[in-house]
Amino acid sequence: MSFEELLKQAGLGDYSQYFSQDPTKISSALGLKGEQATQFGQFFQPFGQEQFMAAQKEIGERQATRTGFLERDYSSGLEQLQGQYQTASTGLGQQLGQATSQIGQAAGQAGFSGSGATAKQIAESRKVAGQSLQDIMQRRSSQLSSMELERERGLYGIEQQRGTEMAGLTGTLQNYLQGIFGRGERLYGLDPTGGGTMNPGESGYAGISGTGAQGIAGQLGQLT
Amino acid sequence: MTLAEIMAGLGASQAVGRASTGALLTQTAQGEARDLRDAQRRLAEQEAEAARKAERRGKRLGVGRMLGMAAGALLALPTGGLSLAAGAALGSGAGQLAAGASQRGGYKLDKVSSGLGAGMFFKGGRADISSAERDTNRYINDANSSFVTNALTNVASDYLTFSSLGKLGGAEKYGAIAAGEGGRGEALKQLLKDNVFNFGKPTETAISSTLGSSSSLAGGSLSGATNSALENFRFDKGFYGGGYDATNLGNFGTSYSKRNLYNPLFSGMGG
Repeated sequence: MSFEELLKQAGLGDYSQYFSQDPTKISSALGLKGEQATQFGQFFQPFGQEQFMAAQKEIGERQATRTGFLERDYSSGLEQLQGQYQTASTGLGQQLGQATSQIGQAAGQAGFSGSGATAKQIAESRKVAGQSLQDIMQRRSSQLSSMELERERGLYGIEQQRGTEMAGLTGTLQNYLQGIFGRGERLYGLDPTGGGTMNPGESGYAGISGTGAQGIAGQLGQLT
Repeated sequence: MTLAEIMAGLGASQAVGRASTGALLTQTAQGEARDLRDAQRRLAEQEAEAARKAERRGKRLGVGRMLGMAAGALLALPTGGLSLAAGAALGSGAGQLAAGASQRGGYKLDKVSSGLGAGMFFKGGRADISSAERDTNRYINDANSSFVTNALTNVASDYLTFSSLGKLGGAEKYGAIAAGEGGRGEALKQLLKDNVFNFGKPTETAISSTLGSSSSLAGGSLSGATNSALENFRFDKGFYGGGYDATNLGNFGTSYSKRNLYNPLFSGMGG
């Protein structure tokens, strides 16, 4: 983003001429003209655009870094959750298999293989396993929502932080503009002349426009 | 570099820049204000000096005129008539010329100069100083030209005065003394005796009445009314004595009395 765009973003687009790196243009923006503007330029310090842009870049990088941390945490959490789910699912499947196998063996030894009681026991085991799996999935879903919320909260915090830092940066623009206008007020309070065209000749005064004999005093001098 | 470092750098450079340009501005403005005060003081000093010189010049002119006229008249006294007037007028002119020429720095009043240099601020103050400088120089110009005019007028006035004198008995009396054994010295003695040492006593010598009526030996001018005024003056107190008819004398200098510099000679004599 260019400096001008940043100024517009800060609502200071109309004041871009005061941020010129040429002091003459700053004094011109305040209404001082020609030679006057050139001479009065020495009383203005141009805004440190490079530092400003560096700070703005740094704020962007900080945001990216924070977002990166957050995303990494989130991804890590997701992986962890996925692992837990897989472990639980696998464990549950194994337990169900073992239970079915034990019921079959017990039924075979008792000679009740294929009886309705055995089938009922196996169905009961499957039902318990299904409920456990549902619990696991619900817990996973809940943890996932919680992680998602945490991530959004983190992103919001990062954006807030960026806003605070940008506000600080915008404050420097405001301070600079206030300084420029204050300096302008002071200059006008000192009743500025026409810059370098003042006071040559006999009396020293050549008026506000013109040098030497061309100035007001010079012209009057020629009349007298 | 961290954000805090960059922000600190940005803030510091802005603050330092503002402070340094502010200091430069203050320095410039204060310096110019000081220059303005100096220029004002210089103008006032030069004005005062011009006024003093004008006063001295006026005095010298009067003395030169008086001495020159007396010397010229005495030299021409034996011949009387118009040559007496011409002698007095030439003497008056020579006396005034010598007075002017011998004045230190010449008879002209020097122009004033504030010496104010170029600047960036206080436009109004600078305009005031320039205006004061121009006004003062205009007065000085006028005073210089009126000085010359006065000298010439004095010469003419003296000529007229002595041409009248030449027709009166006084001239014959002193002319006879000058032409006699006593010579001009005796004539001068007699003239002084009659007109100076008898100061306060009414004298009827023509020369005293005529000299006294010449409005201002120390530097009057020949107004339109001077000739008629000469006829009406009552003079009984010597060279500078009062008793003249003020209504006919006019108002030399009084109209300029607001400003001594304009014509300090007149303002010193007038009113």
